[in-house]
Amino acid sequence: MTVAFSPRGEALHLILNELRTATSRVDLAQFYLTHPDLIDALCALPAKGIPVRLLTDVTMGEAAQQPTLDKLTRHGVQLFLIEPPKRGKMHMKNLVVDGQTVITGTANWTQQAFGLNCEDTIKIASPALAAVYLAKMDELTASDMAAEIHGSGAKPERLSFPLPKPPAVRSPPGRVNAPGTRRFSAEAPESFFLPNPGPFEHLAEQIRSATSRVDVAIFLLNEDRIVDALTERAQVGDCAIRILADVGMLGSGNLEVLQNLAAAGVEIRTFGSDRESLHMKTGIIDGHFFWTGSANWTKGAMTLNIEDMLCFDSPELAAWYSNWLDEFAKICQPFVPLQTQTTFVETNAVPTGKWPIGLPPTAPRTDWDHLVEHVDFPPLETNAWVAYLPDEAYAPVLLDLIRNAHQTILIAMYKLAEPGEKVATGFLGQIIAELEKATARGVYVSLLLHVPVSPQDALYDAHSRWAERLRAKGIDVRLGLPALPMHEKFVSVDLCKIIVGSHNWSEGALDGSRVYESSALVIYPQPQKWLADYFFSRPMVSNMSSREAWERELTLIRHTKNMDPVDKNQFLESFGVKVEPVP
Amino acid sequence: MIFTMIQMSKAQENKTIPARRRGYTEGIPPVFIGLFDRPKGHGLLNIGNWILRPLTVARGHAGSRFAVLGALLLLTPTSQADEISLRNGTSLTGRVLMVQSSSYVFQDNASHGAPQNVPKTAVRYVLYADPTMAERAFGIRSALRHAEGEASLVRLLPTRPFGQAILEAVQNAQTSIWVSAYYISGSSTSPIKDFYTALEDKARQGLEVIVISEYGPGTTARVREATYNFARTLEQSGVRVLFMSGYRILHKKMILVDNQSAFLGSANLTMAGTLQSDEMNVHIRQPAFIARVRKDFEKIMASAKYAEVLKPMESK
Repeated sequence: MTVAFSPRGEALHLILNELRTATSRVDLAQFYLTHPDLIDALCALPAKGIPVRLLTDVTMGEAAQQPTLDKLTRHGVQLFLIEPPKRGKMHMKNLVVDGQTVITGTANWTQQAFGLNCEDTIKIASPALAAVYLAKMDELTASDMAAEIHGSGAKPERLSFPLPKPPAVRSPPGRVNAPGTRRFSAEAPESFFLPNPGPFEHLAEQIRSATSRVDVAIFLLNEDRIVDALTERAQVGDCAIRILADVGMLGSGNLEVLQNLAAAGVEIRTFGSDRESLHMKTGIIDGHFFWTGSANWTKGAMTLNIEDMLCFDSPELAAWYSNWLDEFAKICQPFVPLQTQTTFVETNAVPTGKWPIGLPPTAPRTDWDHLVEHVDFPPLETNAWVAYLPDEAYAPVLLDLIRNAHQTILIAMYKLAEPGEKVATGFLGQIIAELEKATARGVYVSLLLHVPVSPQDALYDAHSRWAERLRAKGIDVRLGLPALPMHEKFVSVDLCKIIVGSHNWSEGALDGSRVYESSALVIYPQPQKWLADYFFSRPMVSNMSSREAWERELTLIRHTKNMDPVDKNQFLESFGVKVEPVP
Repeated sequence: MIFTMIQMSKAQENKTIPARRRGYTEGIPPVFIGLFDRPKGHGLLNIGNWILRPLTVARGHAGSRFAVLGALLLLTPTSQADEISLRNGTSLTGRVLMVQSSSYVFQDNASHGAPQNVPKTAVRYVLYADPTMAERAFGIRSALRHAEGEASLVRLLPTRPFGQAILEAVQNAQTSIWVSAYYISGSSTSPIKDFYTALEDKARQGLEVIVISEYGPGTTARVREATYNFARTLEQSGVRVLFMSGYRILHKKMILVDNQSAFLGSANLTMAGTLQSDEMNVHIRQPAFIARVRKDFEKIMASAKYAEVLKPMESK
């Protein structure tokens, strides 16, 4: 038995090696495969006289993956698309080599899985277990869920079989590399295939009878049996329970699961961003039972998906997993439950006499309905002068427009580089300095920034820091809402000089050194009210009075995203938010 | 003296039609009659609440613009005047008599009283009824030093109108379609689905269809793989597919149709970019602009590579 972890570990190496040394046949069930090295490795086998049978989910049938499927069939891979009923998924990620060895785990065959995500891959040399997996695959391909895909008959190109890449050595700052592969001698595990409530009942029972410690690393957890078992066990207080969860769990619906578990005394930490996930589905109980497999601990996985789950009884293996999770926990963020106490300022309106001087007042949100409805705005069609601003031509023109602004600068920007020392000397530093000067001479500057879905995305922190810093200087920074990307790169000066294009405000885009960009300068003969109406119609955070206030609003928005109106109002009221009654 | 007048009460327009539904059509070019040059915020002649003004530009609703054409006018009442939008979201209508370094001398319609000073630090934006006034107050003419060539029709396209516009442009293409993209992906949702169908049809019909996209180490694996795979699909219909795969990331989002018409902006050519996210793009047909876009395209094309010579990317 051999175990490898990701990110940047030896899992890919392990699988490639196994494929290289296959001698008689390869059977695999893969939910999603796009990794070019793995695809090439599969394609090279039939030419060597080794038949390959691949079962994949119907998701892979989408247009974007057509070339991958074509390539596989062209090289003689026998390919089945599996479409389970009721939108279930063929979610397994396993491989049987020569009918002798099973490789399974949580990793989809993508570059993200091996390079960025936290995953496990486990190789088990057991003809008996292999026979069980093969029987499952036979059953699936014979069922009416399966559709065999035949190739176009085009000639395959010659492939050079790739050598397994050595694992990366360096880890990015703030990240860890997975340890190398490790061999164990252990009893073959108990195996389960889903849909089937059996393994979940079994797991819940083990959790209930745990005596000292339960360690969980999970991408998605909301199955009632398991959640209840964890909650009940934690409430007793004599068993330490830790959950490392993917940051996706902070999103709608599942946040409540984490809140309840945290309230029951479970230690919770989260990891992930738009680009990297904690994708494990692992539970370790009392340091000897240990679970892995393709199944998230959700109702959907249990009742609809085709999944595998394995339960091992091996202290040695459990300890190895625990070590890795302890290491990984260090870079996870502690989960902070929402507080029901309201302590923030109600408004930041500057008390004024006759005129609303300075930053416009912002106040707590009252319209909780239709937060992010797409506003269908008609185009603005009128005569104007134009100039093409490629690459480094953009920043000087932008700076000139800001220097000559008279009353109004409106900016909607998807991405600003992190505020830091580098920024001070570059173009972004100059732009910010000019915006501050404009504000000081009475120009109204509004800067709308994108907010990513994940609160742990570095961009969110960068934009929040910009908001704090620039609002203090009188620039009306607003944050967008974390649902639809605010992807614009749009600047309007005095409602008559605008720049539209692809330039984000990162140094490499502004000085042209890192990114090729194109924008256009448009000068209208007259100010266009359309521009103001459009700009202020964008969905944005309502309460910008302090970072605490906007983080609170964003958290509530993330959480209530898919709730029905009555539940949503009840929930919001329990946090002291004033809401309109549901009609 | 008689002037032709195109005018509509802005105050009335704003009150009756919610901002989001208003159909903006400002296709009527601004017309200046240069007989009068209003000195610093004053009308040529003030008689009570009436002011003799040079011409005002129509800011009409699409359906009603013809209704007011051809009216004759000597004097305009001051109620059809400037708008100051304040930072608390309210606005004032009246007349900006003078722009000072830190305030506006403003005569409010509501009070008809003595002019007052509105500090700039309380103002979001100002809309002048008089184009000459606006042109001066905002230095529009001096900004023209950055522009090249004559004014021409420019279409500013938010997300969904952009999706429609590029679909129509590709469907009507006669000779060539050049695309530079950061992220492309197939979809089963219109309009982007139809856009790619049209692109493939045009390639099969023998038009010169070129797609250059990003396949470099500076891009996330997810975007890179989706773009690469989908580009290879397009290739099968005869689209010439090229990739940029160096350190410098191709992030230009441009479409050049028939060497006459250019779209550029923030939108990726994906379902999200044409339907879901907030995007802003522009459609320009001005010849000098088009010439520059084409030149830039050719520069990129010269360093782009065909799929066959690319090296597979490692994950970052």
